[in-house]
Amino acid sequence: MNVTERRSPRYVVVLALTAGLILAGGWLLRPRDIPQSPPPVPSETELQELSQRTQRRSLDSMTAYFAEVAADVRPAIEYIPSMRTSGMVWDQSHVITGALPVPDRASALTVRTASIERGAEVTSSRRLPLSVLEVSLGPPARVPRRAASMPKTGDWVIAVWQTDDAPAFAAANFRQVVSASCGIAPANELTAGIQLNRAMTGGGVFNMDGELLAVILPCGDRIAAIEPSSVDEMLRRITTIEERLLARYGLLFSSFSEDERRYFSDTDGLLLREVWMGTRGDAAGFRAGDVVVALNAHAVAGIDDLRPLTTPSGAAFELTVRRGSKTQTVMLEPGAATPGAPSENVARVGVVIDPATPTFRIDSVLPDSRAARAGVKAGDVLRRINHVEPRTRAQADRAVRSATSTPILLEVERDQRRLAIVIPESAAQ
Amino acid sequence: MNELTSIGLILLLALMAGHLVKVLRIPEVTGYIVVGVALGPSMLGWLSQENLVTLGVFSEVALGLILFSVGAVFEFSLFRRIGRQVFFVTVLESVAAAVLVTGGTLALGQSWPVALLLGAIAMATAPASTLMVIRECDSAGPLTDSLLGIIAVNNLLCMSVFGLAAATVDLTTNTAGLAMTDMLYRSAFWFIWQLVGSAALGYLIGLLLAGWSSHVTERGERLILLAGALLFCVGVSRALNLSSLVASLAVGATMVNLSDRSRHLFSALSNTDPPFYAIFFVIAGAELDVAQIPAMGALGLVYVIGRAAGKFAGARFAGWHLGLDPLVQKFLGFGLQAQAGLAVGLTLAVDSRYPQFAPVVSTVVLSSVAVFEMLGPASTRFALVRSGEAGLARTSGVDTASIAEF
Repeated sequence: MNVTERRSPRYVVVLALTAGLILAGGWLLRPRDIPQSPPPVPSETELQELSQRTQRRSLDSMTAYFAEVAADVRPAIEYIPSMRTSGMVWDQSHVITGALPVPDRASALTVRTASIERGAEVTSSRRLPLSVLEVSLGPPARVPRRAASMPKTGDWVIAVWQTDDAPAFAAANFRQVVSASCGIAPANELTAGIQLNRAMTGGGVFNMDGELLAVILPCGDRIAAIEPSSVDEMLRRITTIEERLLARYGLLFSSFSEDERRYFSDTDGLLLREVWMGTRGDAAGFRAGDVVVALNAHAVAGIDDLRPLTTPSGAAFELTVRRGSKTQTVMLEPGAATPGAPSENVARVGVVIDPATPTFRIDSVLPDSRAARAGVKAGDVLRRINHVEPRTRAQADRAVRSATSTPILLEVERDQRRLAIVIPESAAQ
Repeated sequence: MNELTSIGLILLLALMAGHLVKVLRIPEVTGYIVVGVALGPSMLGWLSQENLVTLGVFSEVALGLILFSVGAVFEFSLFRRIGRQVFFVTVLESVAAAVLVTGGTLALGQSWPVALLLGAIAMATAPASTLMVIRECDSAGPLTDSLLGIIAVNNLLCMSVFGLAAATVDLTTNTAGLAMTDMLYRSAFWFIWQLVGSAALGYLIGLLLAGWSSHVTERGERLILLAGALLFCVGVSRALNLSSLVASLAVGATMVNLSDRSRHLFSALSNTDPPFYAIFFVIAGAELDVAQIPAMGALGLVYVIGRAAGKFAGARFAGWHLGLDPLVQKFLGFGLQAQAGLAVGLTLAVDSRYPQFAPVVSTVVLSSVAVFEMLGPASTRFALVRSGEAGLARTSGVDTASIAEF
């Protein structure tokens, strides 16, 4: 092939056409997706594992966060070793905890702050779910900040309490605040997804800023988280003379209502409304329905006149009581600084059977009857009518139906208490 | 540093280094490369990685120009005269290098795909630095002719063998989970496409160039035509996934066979292209990671020694077998040592196609390229000077600018 041949137009054109065909054909025939090591697609299990790890990590960091919040509020929560329970520091000298089973000796109670243990004076109550420990905590005591407002539903809250060896916490979502009652006191209860139990008593529920939302206290058989404002109200009540006398002697005094005053013929003095069974007052011989007219020969007009009973004293107290038409003297042994011993069985177990007397149990009370209005309830056990034990069912029936024209005084037994109830005369209706 | 400052600095420093290395009897190319290494990210860092990416366009154009010049070796009458022996020598020196490197790599306990890929890459001889040294030395003669022919054929052969090796690796380590026939089709297609498709493109552009050049008489216009055609060629190659190297080679080959005016074209080119080449080699130097050299390890040594020995022995044996001039027999191997762009390009292909082998292959090839690119031009110069062909082009009155013009 010479130069002329190589350069002949036909030859050049054929070559050019071939080249064009090669390019066009090759471009059309090229494999569509050029294999360029595609990024590996993670398998289903890998994805699952990945998401589990992510969740795990976020849970871990949440737990760490909760632990930080718990550590932040921990100084406000003391530990009471002898009771194996927590106590919430309320102010510089008061620690709150659940209603304590009454100890035999006052010295049995100590509060452990960090590594220091201090003795504490206890004010307890028979009708409120808490006890107050008076203890000198000193300035470093950390009083918990109270939350300015309740969290929104779904917000995280954390319960923090102390156990024997370590602080503990549990976090969950806030639900709502409900109005309930705890003992004799109304209480706003906080509910959250936390399963509260007795070990948490005396601990607190906090928001994520470490602000106190509620104190964990036992309300009867259940454990409730109670708002600080309700706790304040309970504290106010627990220090009244009525509550102190009830705590100390098992005696609940009050002044007369109008109906009662008429029944007792305008007697001055205080009505002994309840005698808690198994208490020192019960042992001294008091009966519900007694009217206390004098203490140590000083006339009693109001509850303040009974204040001497609340302060410890060496000598026994002499109380003048009117029972029916008789006036008699009852000697009351002074209470210790802490309430006397025996109530625990009675108050807690709640089973007392009095085999000595036949019982008249009230099956039902007519609605809107005088008895119902006066406070008689089905299940009450009728002990005395006008200070006289009923002998027959007929006497008992008559008293309950109140078919009399004069007011009567019933002494009934209810929940380990003996209550005095005055049923006004029917003419009053 | 912005790109214009970089280019200015590159040119000035390259010129200075070129002057300096002449005193040391080292090729200017080596001076340019040393300047590149010094300015590059692995040493002074005046040329950042971003600069290199931007300046990569110059590199590509320069390589296109070089391959275009090299393509002239396929002039029909010349190639008929020396074609067979060139082909024989090329096959022998390349295969010897490949076999030694593959064997050595396997002996060191590497997997066979790594050995095969390294062997294929080891075949490549850098056309650019070799051609530049030939020009610089104004050499002419049988050794020079053989060298020019070999570097042209060598690159085609290297690409073919790499394509075959890659196809083999594809077929045996089917990681993409494709059907066997699909796999085979893909491997074969890209292998053929890169050679035949690129040649077809080169032919068409060469045709355009040849046809148009007969109507262009002014030197400046010729230069515009040439630059336009070559840039177009490189650009289309990239767009169609073709080899710009093969395409540029084909443009040169077509041009030299179809146009009597090719001589003027090459002449126009050679008067203008030195700045491009200076930039090309400085960039090539800057891209060398000299810090890698100590990291090459035993495998790198085996690659360097195996490749050098293979090229020496293969060329020598082939020369002896063909009964070539004793001087050619003796010095041909020295002229084939340079290695650069193609090897780096194939390494990049390995990176993207076989990431599992990439760490070993990259380390070995990039560190050895640093060695061969620094020593190769000096070795080529040594061969040309010692064979007595240096300066012959000047004394015999041939246009010194372009040996490859015929």
